[in-house]
Amino acid sequence: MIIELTVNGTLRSVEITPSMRLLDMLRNVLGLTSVKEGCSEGECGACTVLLDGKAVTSCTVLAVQARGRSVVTIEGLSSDEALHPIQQAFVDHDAIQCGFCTPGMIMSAYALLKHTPSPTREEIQRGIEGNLCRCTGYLPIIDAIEDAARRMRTHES
Amino acid sequence: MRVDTPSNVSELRDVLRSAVAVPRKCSLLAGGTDLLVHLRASPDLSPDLIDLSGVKELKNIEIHRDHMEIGACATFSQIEGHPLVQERFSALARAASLVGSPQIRNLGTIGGNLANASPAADSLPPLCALEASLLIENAEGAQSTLSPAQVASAPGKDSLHADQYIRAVLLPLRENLLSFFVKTGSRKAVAISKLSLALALSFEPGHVRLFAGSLGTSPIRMEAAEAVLDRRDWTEANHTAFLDALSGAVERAIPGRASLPFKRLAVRGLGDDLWTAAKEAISRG
Amino acid sequence: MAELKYVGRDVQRNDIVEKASGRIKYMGDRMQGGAAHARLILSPIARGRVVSFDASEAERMPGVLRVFSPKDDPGKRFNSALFLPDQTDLQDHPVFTDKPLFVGDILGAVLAKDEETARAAAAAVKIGFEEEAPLLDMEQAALPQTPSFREGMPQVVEGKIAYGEESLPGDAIILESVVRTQKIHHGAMENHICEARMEYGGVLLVETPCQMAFTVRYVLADLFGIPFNKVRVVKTPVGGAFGGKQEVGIEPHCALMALKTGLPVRLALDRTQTILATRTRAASVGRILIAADREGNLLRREMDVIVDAGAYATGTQRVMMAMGKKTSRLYRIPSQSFRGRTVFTNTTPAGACRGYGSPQIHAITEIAMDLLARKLLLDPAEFRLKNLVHPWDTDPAGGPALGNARIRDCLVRGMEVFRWNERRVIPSGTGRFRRGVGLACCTHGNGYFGSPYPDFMSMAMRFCEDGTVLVNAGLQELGNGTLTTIGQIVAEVLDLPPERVEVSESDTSTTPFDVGCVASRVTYVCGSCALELAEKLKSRFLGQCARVLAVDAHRLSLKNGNVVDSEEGGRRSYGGMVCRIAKELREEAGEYLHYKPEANPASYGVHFAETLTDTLTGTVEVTDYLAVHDVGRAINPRLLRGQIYGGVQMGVGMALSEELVYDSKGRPKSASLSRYTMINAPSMPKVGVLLVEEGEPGGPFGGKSIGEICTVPVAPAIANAVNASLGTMMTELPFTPERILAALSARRETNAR
Ligand SMILES: Cc1cc2nc3c(=O)[nH]c(=O)nc-3n(C[C@H](O)[C@H](O)[C@H](O)COP(=O)(O)OP(=O)(O)OC[C@H]3O[C@@H](n4cnc5c(N)ncnc54)[C@H](O)[C@@H]3O)c2cc1C
Ligand code: FES
Ligand code: FES
Repeated sequence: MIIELTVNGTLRSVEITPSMRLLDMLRNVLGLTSVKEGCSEGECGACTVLLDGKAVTSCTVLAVQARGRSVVTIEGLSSDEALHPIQQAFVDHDAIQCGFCTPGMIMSAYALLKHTPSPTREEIQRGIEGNLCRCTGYLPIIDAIEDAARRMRTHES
Repeated sequence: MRVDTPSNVSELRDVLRSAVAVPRKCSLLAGGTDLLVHLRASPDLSPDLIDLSGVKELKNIEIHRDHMEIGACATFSQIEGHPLVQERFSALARAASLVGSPQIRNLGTIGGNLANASPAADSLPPLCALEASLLIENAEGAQSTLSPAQVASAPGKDSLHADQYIRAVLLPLRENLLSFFVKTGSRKAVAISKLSLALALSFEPGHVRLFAGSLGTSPIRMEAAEAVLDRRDWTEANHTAFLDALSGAVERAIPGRASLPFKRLAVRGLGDDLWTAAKEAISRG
Repeated sequence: MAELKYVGRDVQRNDIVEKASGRIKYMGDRMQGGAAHARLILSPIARGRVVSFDASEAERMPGVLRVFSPKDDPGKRFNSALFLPDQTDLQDHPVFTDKPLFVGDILGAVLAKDEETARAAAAAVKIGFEEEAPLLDMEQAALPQTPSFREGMPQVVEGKIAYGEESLPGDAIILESVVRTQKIHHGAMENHICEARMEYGGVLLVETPCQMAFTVRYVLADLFGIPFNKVRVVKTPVGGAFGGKQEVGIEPHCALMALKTGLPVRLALDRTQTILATRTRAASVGRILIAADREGNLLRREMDVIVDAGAYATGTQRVMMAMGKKTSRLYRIPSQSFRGRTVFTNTTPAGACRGYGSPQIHAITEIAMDLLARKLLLDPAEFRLKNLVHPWDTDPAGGPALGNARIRDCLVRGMEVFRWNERRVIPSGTGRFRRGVGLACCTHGNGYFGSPYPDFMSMAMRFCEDGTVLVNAGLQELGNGTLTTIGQIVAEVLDLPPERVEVSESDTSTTPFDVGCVASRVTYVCGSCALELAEKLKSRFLGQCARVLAVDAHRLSLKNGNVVDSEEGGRRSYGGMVCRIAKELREEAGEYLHYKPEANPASYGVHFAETLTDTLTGTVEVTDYLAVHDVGRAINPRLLRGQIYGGVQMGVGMALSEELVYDSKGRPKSASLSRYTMINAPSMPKVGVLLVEEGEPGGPFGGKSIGEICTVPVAPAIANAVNASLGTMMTELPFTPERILAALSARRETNAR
């Protein structure tokens, strides 16, 4: 079947099967391979994308459930040249080691900062509680998100 | 596999009607956080799905004269963030805020939590404590109500007929009601409850409801502990009596279970949290 | 030493922008066109025999290309840790087995046109079994009367290390204890995956996110009887490894399917399969006896350790011996004995896992050290200070000398920063929540030198026509910054910005041989090789420049990308000179080096933990943390701190929540991330890092290892803090709420008596 949805700001018609997960559609049909599969059961957050502005694990959503809605992946955050301030903060704080958790982690951070522009450290920890990272011990990630929030606030004001 | 995606209740009824007309293996799908994980792990199952997540009437949270109505497809984020839920049914708001992660709370629905009816489902104890009932509707629009425990404890979890679905959760509005929820799991956050307690009580003595989750198919009412609480007498002796009553209730609920030695002790920790919270709230007045 | 430009600085990791943008392509992210997708069929039983294998339904499914069954097994057995033919580890591992030895043992596979079809078809294969009772308990597995469930293979493999007098002075204070460490899943976020296909010239090409490409080549060539130079293994980007991708995993299965069908094959595991069917950190039970005099001077230690290999030999025997070898390198102990027994159980095989046995043996020894300190009424830190090794000590068990061993500095400085003396004596209280502090010391190695495994490395290095540098080495970047630090070392010597140095990863057909990014050898061994080679290249290049410019080479130096003539004052770009050298001398500005380390000093660390335990629910929170490490010299302090934070994350999990457990039939109870609890952000403590940088001879700019050792002392430090705050003597990891409450109940009962 064919569904229409907005992916990273562009209206797309996508051919899917009924049993296809949103994760499979993004990766295999649209080639958005930043969306990673780490557990297939909503536990690791590697597949996190924004669905109508809210962070969701795309392994627990069917593609057809995204019909008519808007999906954002990390490919939609940065332009060709410039990284998004959150991405740049991850770079500056060395919040990335193997990088496998990174896209999902950044999408969770993005969702958090959208709703909570000045989060406390504890709010950041809770904002990424659904994203596992086995490499960094989270601390540089928390620093990066704190810093990104600061940068985004000064950017806006 | 086929997926129907009704966008309102009347379309949903049509889909349900046709689903029962030609009996076929069919499941309702809401947030998918239980069902899709389950189906992924069991590739031999591939039921047709009826997706409720687009049915707009099921997502509302509304306040009526004497009760609040939470649509079955309200997500835990919606519930956790709703000011009136926070104010009037704080145990439910709290439980919602402790379900999974932000991603799961953005998807997972209260209806799915109830229908899936895991013993660890976090919405069950608060709903029992808050005297909630579930509004059930069928393909013809006929409505009935069930208690959360009835849905949770039905054999094989099929307390609903093939053409029925949970339409909403109804919560009676009581004046001066306080409520609390606590849980413990294998981790501070994003943890399946090993044990949980939900308490609702009125400012004045006479109304106390205390339920424990993760002890059996449906929440267990802790009557002896309720009685101690209802004394509203916050002495050390009563505190101990309260915790002893909780331990006793756990011992009766899961005799011989491997988890008993842990749960009969851990329940005292959760009980202590509730005791402190209730005492503070009531003495604050 | 002149001031360093790049070494010792927080140089940005080479691949961080592609990772931040999500553009990096891990193996699973590549275009899948043309590849056949494989799905493994795993045993649902822990021990038994396949009596029927019915693939007819699967084979009828559209898109299924072929079903592999135990009949397709090549017959030969392999050992996933072997990398040279003289290595004597038991070779007992089949590719597809008809006698499964654990839940997750690989019986066969389905090859299909896409992943979904392969999944569905694999589930449709019907297999009948004759089940046998599994052997699950490692202590039972160690009993002499327990028969082997592995035909013709020993049930126990023993190793001993001992030195000094065996007798104990009569008045010694003795502590005897039994410490248990659990089986752990590596938890790399990327699940196991691999691709194999036949290439031009009959070359078997295997691409895999691995830690040791040449081990993969060894096992495949040996197993399938293919000339080594016809097997090409290429390392791809790794989404976390931690030892789990050190041994050969699913490459034999993938290669077999490609060889048999001639198709390009992609084999990907999901999380549950990765937990069930790859490797684990070996569980262990350590009986330990420590004797000290009244003042707290250690007199003797005896350790009898059982290590659970799971169902196949893999590298566990090596892990067990590595455990023993650590025990003579931390404290000065006049006499000691270590007996290790590797035993087999019907559980997922063990193997390398960050620390290679160090976390296990240090949990055993460091938890026991604290219990002895309690018995001696000594401060655990003072007790350790009395006994810790000194710089330049030798290893009484005959291992390599310890080098500039700065563990004492670590402890002394750490105590100050953590305010140990002050915090240790604060009573933990009598209320519901008890606070306590604990510490643990540790040591780890720097490569293979002095072990049965040869350690050496070769690299090639050349300037390109634009003055950039290519380093051709069999390295494996695992997310820990290997390529970045090697690049920094080269950049320092050749004086050009690190981003102008490109360091390669393993490709067994084009890069020199190397024994892998394992054994904590990358900084000390590979880094030294890069340093020496960069110096060799520098002198060759300067000589070439001198010939081209017809000046004395002493006048020339390298400065920020330019060749500078100190007399004439001219500056010529590296690139320009490379082109002139090519044209005028007909030479390449390149060099090659064979490097052999001649030492294997010890790295050290001390971790301090503060915990808050809820005595009613049994939950533990780590509320403060300090990691102190003797790293010789930090090549890249920021990357180094990152290693430590990650090591602490894994260690907190080992201390408190991670555990692979089985039911009585051998079925894993935690084969998914919902049941296997790793530490997430809310449970991660703040971690302070303190580095002792006193320089290690033989290491590049004095540097030595950090990536493994930083996870070694975490669990015992936390365990000691919890035991101190509760007055308990818990010795079974992890300290789950269940175990904490049980220990508190037991203590209440003894007190009541
Ligand atoms: C990572 C993770 C963490 C989790 N943590 C928690 C936790 O902390 N606490 C907790 O309680 N749960 C937790 N869960 C479980 C799950 O998220 C919840 O149970 C959630 O509420 C399920 O709702 P859903 O909308 O996703 O249900 P679905 O998966 O869509 O459906 C679940 C079941 O309910 C049925 N159903 C759904 N809606 C209706 C309806 N309106 N009428 C009748 N039947 C219906 C479906 O047919 C299905 O059988 C977690 C899950 C994951 C993946
Ligand atoms: S893959 Fe979706 S949460 Fe792990
Ligand atoms: S950087 Fe490797 S999992 Fe997070």
